[in-house]
Amino acid sequence: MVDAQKHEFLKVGRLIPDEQEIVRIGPRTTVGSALQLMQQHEFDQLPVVAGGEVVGVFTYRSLARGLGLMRRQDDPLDAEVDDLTEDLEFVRSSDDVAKVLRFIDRDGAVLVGDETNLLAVATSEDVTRFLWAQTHPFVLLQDIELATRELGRLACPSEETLIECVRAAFPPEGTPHSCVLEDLTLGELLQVVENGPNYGRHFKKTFGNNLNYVHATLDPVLEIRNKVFHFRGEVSVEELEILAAAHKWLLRKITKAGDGQ
Amino acid sequence: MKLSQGQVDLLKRLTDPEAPSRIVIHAVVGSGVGRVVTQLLARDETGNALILTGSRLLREQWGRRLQEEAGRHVTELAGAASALELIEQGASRPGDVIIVSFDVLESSLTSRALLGRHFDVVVIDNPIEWLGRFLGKTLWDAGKVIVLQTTAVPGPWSDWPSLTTTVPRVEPDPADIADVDFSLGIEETDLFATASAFTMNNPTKRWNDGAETRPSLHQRLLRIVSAQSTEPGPAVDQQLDATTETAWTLLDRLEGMGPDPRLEALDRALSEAGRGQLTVVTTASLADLEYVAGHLAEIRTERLRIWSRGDPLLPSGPGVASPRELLLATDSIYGEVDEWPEDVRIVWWTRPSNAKQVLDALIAAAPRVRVWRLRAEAPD
Repeated sequence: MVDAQKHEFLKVGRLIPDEQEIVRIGPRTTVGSALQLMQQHEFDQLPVVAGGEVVGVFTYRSLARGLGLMRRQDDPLDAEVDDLTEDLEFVRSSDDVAKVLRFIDRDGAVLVGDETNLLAVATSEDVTRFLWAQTHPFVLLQDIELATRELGRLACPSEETLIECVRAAFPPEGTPHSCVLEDLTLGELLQVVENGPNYGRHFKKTFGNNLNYVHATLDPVLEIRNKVFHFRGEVSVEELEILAAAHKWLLRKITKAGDGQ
Repeated sequence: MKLSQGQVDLLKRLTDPEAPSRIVIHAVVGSGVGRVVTQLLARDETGNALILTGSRLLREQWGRRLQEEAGRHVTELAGAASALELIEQGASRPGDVIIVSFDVLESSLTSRALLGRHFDVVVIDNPIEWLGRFLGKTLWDAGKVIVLQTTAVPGPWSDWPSLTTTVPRVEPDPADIADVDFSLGIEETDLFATASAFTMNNPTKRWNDGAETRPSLHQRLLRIVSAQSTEPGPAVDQQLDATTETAWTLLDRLEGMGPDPRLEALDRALSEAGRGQLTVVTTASLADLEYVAGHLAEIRTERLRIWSRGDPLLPSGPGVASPRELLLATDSIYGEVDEWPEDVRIVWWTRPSNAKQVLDALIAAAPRVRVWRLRAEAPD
């Protein structure tokens, strides 16, 4: 039997930042005070709670809508938020993100929990941050692979030399089907670059004199790449830093190689 | 894993019906008290448990141990998503164990997830001072609270009955730790001094200690220059531009240096160590590990194997049971592997700032190993 809880499906709970604090206000709070709180915490909405129950949400949009109904002589900042709220959808943290995305798209946020037990707020910014966190490793890995390939190419005077390097890096029975760089996996590509004679003759021109730094900077990427592409859990902050470091290092090598030509 | 006599005695004292319900165990690193507590929690009558630990790594370690050795259903509270899941699940099932690291305890969702839950046993693994104030009611409501301390920290537990474990720490024979010395040149010493001051004070990413090996310094400097690209946010300002420039200058100096004397010492250490049933090179970081692996791949003839969590220590399976293998691992291996073979030789690519901590972990995990420790000598 498959235990669904063991699997990290895309649930609303995953959108919520770990450090999220919910700031609640009462219905008698003035618009001025509410706006001040929103600015202070950089929130776009504040749940309005009365008697322990969520009675609405004060947002910039609900304020804009309500302003049209106010008398001209009244100062909007002194008005109470009570009549200036809107209703946001309540969802469960175990709901699929796909199911609630249309509410977030429409209202900018959804409330997690229920009227008497507000647990969290999932906003469109949380969705953006979550998606960035999910896709960032893929983008970095793509750049790392392309940059490694580019530095390999820049180091070799001709396509023939490059093919010789590929052949030299593998035993005859283990030579890849194709010697074209684009057809090599990142692991194979690194095997070509890190091959001692290859490195000494060619690749040190673009990757730098010391092969050990290539190992130290790029080899950890392989394991992370496997983790990312085989979906073996979340990429940790540490792993993301390793990818970002390798990415920067390679881009600078490309710039330097370009300057040298 | 079989408990030692001292550990069995401690388990008896903890399970004695007359034992106090609040107890502090003063234990030195390496006494295996964590294993005793695991055995305690393996008993059905223990009920629901809460484990509080100092770090994410320890949280994961407790989690694995309790699942594998105690057969417990474990929930690790690791942030908002797991806290929300726990809140939605409602009441705990009998025998559930929740593990929380101190860093997420302060999150309001974690507090809510723990609120109103009754724990038959609460274990605090090396508490910090603010924890007592924070836990308050959870501590008082728990059936049994066990505090494990290596150093005394004030808190509500200060007045509780304490137990100094009789489980002895197995000290290694000093003759089993050999120092392999190497000298750093003036240029390297100067670069490390400059770089340490820079990495400890830069505005993008801060470290509290100096980098002590070439690969670790290399990695740190790269993390400084790439810090801006790991988080979405405003573009770098002029101050950060200057920081990046300094970091690149230091990186260029580092990459331009001659042969690394530490690698030469490593080769010497491996030669002195010879071959045991198992020979392992351990390093502080992944960057160090790959740096060392790259170097050894060029000069050694035996098979190199990089150990990952869950891998066996000794090769197994047809065709791989060869003594001509060198295992490479980060120092985390000492916290992960409990059972080591008899004749283990460790070549330790040290980082002086955490040497004491690693040595403690090493002794706890594998007290009877022989160690060759790289030691830098400053230039005259």
